[in-house]
Amino acid sequence: MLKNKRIMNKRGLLFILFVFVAFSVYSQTKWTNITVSDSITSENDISSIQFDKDGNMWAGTLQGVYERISNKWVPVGLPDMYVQTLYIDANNVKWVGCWGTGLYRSIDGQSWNSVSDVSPAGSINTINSDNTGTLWIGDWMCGVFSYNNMKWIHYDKSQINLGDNTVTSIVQDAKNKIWFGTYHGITTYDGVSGASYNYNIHNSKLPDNNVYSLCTDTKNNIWIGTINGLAKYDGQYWKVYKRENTPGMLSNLIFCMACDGKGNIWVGTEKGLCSFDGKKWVGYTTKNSRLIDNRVQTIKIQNNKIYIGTRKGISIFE
Amino acid sequence: MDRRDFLRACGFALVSSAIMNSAFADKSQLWSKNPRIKPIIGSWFEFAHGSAAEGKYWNGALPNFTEQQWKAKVKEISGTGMEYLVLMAVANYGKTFYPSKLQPRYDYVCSDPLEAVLSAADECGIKFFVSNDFWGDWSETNKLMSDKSITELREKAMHEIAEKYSHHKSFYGWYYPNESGIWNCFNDMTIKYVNECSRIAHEVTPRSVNLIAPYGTKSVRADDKYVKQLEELDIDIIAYQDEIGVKKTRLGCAGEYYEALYKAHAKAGRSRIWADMEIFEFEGDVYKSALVPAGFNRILKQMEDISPFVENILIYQYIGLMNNPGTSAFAGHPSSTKLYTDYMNWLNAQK
Repeated sequence: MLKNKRIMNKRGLLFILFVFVAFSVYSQTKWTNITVSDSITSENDISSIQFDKDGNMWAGTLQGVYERISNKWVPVGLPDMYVQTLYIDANNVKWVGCWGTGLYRSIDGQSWNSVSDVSPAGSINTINSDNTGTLWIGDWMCGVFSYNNMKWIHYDKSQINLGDNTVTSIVQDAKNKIWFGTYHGITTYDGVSGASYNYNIHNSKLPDNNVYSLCTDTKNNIWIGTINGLAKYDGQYWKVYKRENTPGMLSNLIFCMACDGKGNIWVGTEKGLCSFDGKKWVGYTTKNSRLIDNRVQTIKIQNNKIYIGTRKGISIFE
Repeated sequence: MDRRDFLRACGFALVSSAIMNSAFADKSQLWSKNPRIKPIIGSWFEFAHGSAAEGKYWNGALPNFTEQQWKAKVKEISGTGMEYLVLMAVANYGKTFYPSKLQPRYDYVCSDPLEAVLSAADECGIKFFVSNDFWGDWSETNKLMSDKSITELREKAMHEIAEKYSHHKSFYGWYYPNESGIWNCFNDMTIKYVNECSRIAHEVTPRSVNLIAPYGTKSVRADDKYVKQLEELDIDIIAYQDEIGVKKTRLGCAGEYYEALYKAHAKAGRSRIWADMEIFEFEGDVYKSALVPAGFNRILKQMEDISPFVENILIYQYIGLMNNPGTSAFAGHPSSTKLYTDYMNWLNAQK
C-alpha cells in the first residue's frame, strides 16, 4: 500500500514536471495570427507572403493582392484574380503570377499592368530572382521565362535540360547556378556556361519526381521538397528525410520551405509546419501550437520571424 | 521506484519504442485500414483516346479487341469492386464506335463494342453512363456544344442510341462529354448545352441518371451565383475533375475546392457531387505526351483528400492505366499492372 502510494506520488511529480517543461517550451515561443478577412474566405487563402522596401507585408491570395498598412489589410489590386505567386524584386517592383490570367507587374503597388510577353497559357507557378537581379518565372506548361535589361528570354526543355516544362520552384545556389523544380525532377542550370543537368529518381536519390519546392541553406545545400519526402543535396551526397523514419516530420508532402539565418529549415506540409535544426525535427500543428491552419502553403522569413501562409490566414512565429 | 527500477523502466521504454518504430516501419509497406477513405467506385471508359499523344499506350490495342476481350475488360473492372463506367465517346472525328446510320463506323475487329460492353455490364451489374458525343473533332468543345448542325446530329444520335441500347439494364444514364470548363462559374453556353442534352435524355430515356464532369474546379467561386447556377443546371451528378494529373492542382489541395463545392451543392439541393479523379501523370509535358499511371501513394493521397466531400470517386481511367496482371485484354502502359496490384492490395486491406 505504502509502496503504491510512493509510486503514485512519483508519477504525480513526473506529470507535474512534464506539464512544467511543456509549458516552458510553449511559453518561449510566440505566435501571432492574422487574417485578411474575418471569415473563412478566399482572401485568407494565402499563396505568397512578401515584404516591400518599407517593410510592409504583402499577401497574394486566392482572391487578389493585399498590403498590410498600419496593422490593417488593404486590397491593392487584382481583386478577382487567383494569385498563384507574388514576388517583390530588389527595385520594389511587385510581380504577380496568376492562375489563368497570366503575369502582372506594378511599380507603385496600385496600378497593375498585364505582361503579355510570358506565359501564353496564362498560368504561372513561381517567381524568383537571382543575385544579378534577373527575374525568373516558372510556368505551368511553358518552361521558364527570365527578364533582365528590359528583355524577356524563354527557355524550355529543348534549350535547358528541364525535367518537363511545368516549373514549380526556382532558387539560386551560392555558385550562382539556378535550380528548377519540375514534375520530372530538378534541373540545375549554369547561366554562364549554359550547362544544365536534370536529377530524377532514376539517376539520383531524389525520393520522387514531383517536386513542389526548393530552397538553399546557409551551408549551400539544396533542399528539395517532393510529394513523397524531402531531400538534401550537397553537390555530392543525398540525404532523404521521410516521415516514416524521421520523428517530428509531419508529412511527406512538402509544399514549401525556407531557411532562416540560424540555418534552421522550415518546412510547410498539409499536416502542419516542421522545423529542422540539423539534428532534431519539431512539428507544429493546430493541436500543439497556435498555428492557424495545418496546410502551410508558403513560408517567408523576415527579421528573424517566420511568416507562415495557410489557407486560413497567416501565423507569425518568433 | 529506485534508480535501478527507473533505469530498467527507461530501457524497457526505449526497447518498446524501437520495436514499435520497427513494426510501424514494416507496416508502412502494407496498407492500413482507413474507413475515411472512399474506394474507387467507377471509371471512365473509352474505345479510343481522343489525343493520340496521350493515348500512346492503349490506342493501338483497342481496335484489335474482340467482342470477348471487350466483355472481359468490363468484367475485369467489375472485379475491382467498381460499379459505374462512364463512356467517353460514341463517335469522334466523323466516325462512330457503334453501327450507326449517322456516320461511318471505325474499322474495329469488334463490329459493335458498345453492344459488347453493355452486354457484359448487364451480366456483372455495372451501370453505364453512355456518352452522347463527339459528333465532330472532340477538341472543338465550343463548336460541339453550340453548333446548330452538330446539336441536331447529337439529338438524332441520342434517339438512335436509346433505340438500340437503352433496353440494357446497364444503360444507367447519359454522360455529356464536352468538357464544360468552369472559370469562377459556368458560362451560359454550358448551362444551355447541358439543359438541352437533359431535355432529350428525359425524352428518350425517362429514367436516365445523367452526368457531367467539368474542369476548372480550382477556379470555382462557390458563391451565391454559383449556387443559383447549380439550381438551374438540369443534371443529376457533377463529377468535378480533381486536376492533379494535369498539374493544375497540387496534391493535397483539391479537398479544399471540393469542400467549397460540397457546401454549394448542399445549398442548391439539386445535383450530387462526385469526383473525377485523375490517376495519371504525363510521361513528358502536359497535353503533349503520353498518359501513364501515377504511383499509388499519390493516388491514395488524392482519395484521402477528397473523400470527405464527395459522394463517389470515379477515376480517369481504368482503360490504359490499370490492368489486371492476368488480363486477356491488355491495353496500356506496362506499369498499369502495378497500379492495379497496388490498388487491389489497398482495397483488400480495407475489408
